[in-house]
Amino acid sequence: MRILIPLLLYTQMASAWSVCLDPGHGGSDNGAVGIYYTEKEANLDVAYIIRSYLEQLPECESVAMTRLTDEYVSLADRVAYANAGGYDRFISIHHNAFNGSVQGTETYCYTDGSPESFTFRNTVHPYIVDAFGYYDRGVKTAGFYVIKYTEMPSILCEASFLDYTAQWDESWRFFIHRLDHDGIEGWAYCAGVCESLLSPVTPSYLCRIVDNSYPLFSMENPEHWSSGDWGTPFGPDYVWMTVSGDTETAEWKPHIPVTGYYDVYLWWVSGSNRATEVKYSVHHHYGEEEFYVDQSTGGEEWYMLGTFPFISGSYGWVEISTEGSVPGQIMVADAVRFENTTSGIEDDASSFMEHSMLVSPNPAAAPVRIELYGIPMVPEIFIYDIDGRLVQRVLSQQQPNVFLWNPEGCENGIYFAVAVSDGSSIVSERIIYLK
Amino acid sequence: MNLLAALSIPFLLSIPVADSYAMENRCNVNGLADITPFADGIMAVTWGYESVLYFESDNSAMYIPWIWDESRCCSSPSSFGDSAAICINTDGVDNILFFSPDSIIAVYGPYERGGRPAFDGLGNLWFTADGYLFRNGISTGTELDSYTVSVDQSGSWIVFCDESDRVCILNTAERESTVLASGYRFYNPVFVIYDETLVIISPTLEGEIIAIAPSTGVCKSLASGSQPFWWKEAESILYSVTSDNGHTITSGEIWIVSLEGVNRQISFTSEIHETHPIAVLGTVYAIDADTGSLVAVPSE
Repeated sequence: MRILIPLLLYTQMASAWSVCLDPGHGGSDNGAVGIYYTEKEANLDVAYIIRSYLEQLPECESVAMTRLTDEYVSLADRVAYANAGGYDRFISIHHNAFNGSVQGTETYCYTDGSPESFTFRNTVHPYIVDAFGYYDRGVKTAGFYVIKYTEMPSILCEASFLDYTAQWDESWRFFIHRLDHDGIEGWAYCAGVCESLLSPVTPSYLCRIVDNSYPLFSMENPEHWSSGDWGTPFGPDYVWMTVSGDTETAEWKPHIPVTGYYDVYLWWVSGSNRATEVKYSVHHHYGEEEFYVDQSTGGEEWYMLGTFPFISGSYGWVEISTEGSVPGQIMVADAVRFENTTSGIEDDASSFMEHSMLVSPNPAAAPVRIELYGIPMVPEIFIYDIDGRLVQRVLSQQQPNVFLWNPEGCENGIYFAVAVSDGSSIVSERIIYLK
Repeated sequence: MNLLAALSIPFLLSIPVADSYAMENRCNVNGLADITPFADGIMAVTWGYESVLYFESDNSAMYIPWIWDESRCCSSPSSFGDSAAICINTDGVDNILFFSPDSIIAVYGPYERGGRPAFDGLGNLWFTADGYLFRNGISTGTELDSYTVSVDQSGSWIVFCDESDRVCILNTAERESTVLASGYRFYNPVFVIYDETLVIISPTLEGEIIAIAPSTGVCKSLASGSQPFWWKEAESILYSVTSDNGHTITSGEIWIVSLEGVNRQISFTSEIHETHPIAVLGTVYAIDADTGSLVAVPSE
């Protein structure tokens, strides 16, 4: 006999959600051990970063963590705590170890878990893989206690092998650039959670760093480059070469998480023998821009090159070239950082081009190119200083909606370029001028 | 009719009174995630929280009291005598099912977010949903966000944890809540009656089992362990003591402690990792963390 009972169901998703983060290991349990960093430290640091991202989202009701410090929490307590909280998702954060020669990313859900767990795993995993660009070891199933006994859709991710030392030291990467490396991983989790819960990805901090030791850095002729670690390189080392008559290039090609404007920073280690005019080319959404950087001074910190538009994916890159450098000098290639500057991100190229003003370079020390997209042609734009005083009217160049502002004679400071149509302001952009 | 109700669609819930799957698996089924005393037997939720099983106490029969398509449990069940309740989720919305071993008594909802149900000493069903406290499916008008609550015998007091993992207590008549205890990371506090006195028992993420005086908030650590279960007849707390390697439980034994803090280990099987202890009709049961199988723990 079967009894049928009518039951009303909603078809709409809940608008708010909550997440329980589970930083694996802790206290007496180090987990995987790298030379410079232990898994329990990485797991906790990444969890805090995920939490900081998620808490920025209006849809996120709460983010709980099974441990807040370096302490041992039993698996039984972790699961019972999560179940008592009734969270919408559970993420157990781990890092792997094997024999020092294996690197890659893998994400688990319980073998007989709910369909939501499988979907959750399949959604988050690509973000973690993309974050580091390491080998994709795949989505997997397992009977780990925390994913087997939790009520909500649950995953356990091993983002990277902390003991890896074959081509670089993964633990050093975490240790020396903790915020950057953990930040990349943390944002990837955040993006995966958002997609899983059908929320727009809008954390304000998006950053990608490509070091010479990363897979996303490539050299045209690797055999012509040497490794060096003098001074303070980003990561374990940098690569260098003596400039000859031939043109040599290398490039940093990030995986850009979302379409938007990115500040591009360079890192090198300076020295008296360094090339004084190193050519960097930024290949962004609207084309290529060249810069010449003196590597004999500065360095060992982030140097901002400018702000550029990038489309999500691996479509933009920064290239370094010996072209124009003096033969006999040393050219160094170390790291490039791409940091998102826009909020309210549209992951769509056409939306990106609507009603936008592109200013480059920015900050500027020389004439600034200003381009308008997605708006009717305007004959001129207006430059205002920070007090709202009109500084200059700039007429259109030969191309429609393309302007060139020469700030020569202006004081260092912040200016605003404003395009006006029919008496109402339609788009503006901030310009930083530093002579 | 609110907007959500207007968007709702009819759904049929089927309840097989006997089931061939259940008859084949009997009580030796593996893969249990949680167990709760229910009527004269045990109600169990399977790994992945996909389904609910029922074992009669003599282990001679097991059946699934109800099933539903495209739904999953989103809470552990609670029981009171031969009544029980559980929160289930279907297509992203929650319903509270109130049922007996062989029939559904009521379905409350749907809600955007339902909580874990709890019973008071009179058999009234309490739960939170969409930010409010409900009693027998009717909103009390009291705002309460906690997913898990416990109710005292009379239904006058609710104990729960806030977002800072503090124990809070709510007077249901006055609708006012206060922080009762902090200093630990509490979760899942429950009311128990000991020697005719109301006491709150709560596990903590620090691995302690704490007794809290509801009137003063004074805390007393009773034991180091997890998953406390109030064994009413013995006026003691069953709990598990586990060790793990960060991924799987490597040992688990069941202990018992009185509210005076007198501890005693009652399981001694290194090959079985007992967790989730409960007591049914004088017998202690647990789940083997490895296999998820139900195991009976010798009382001595």
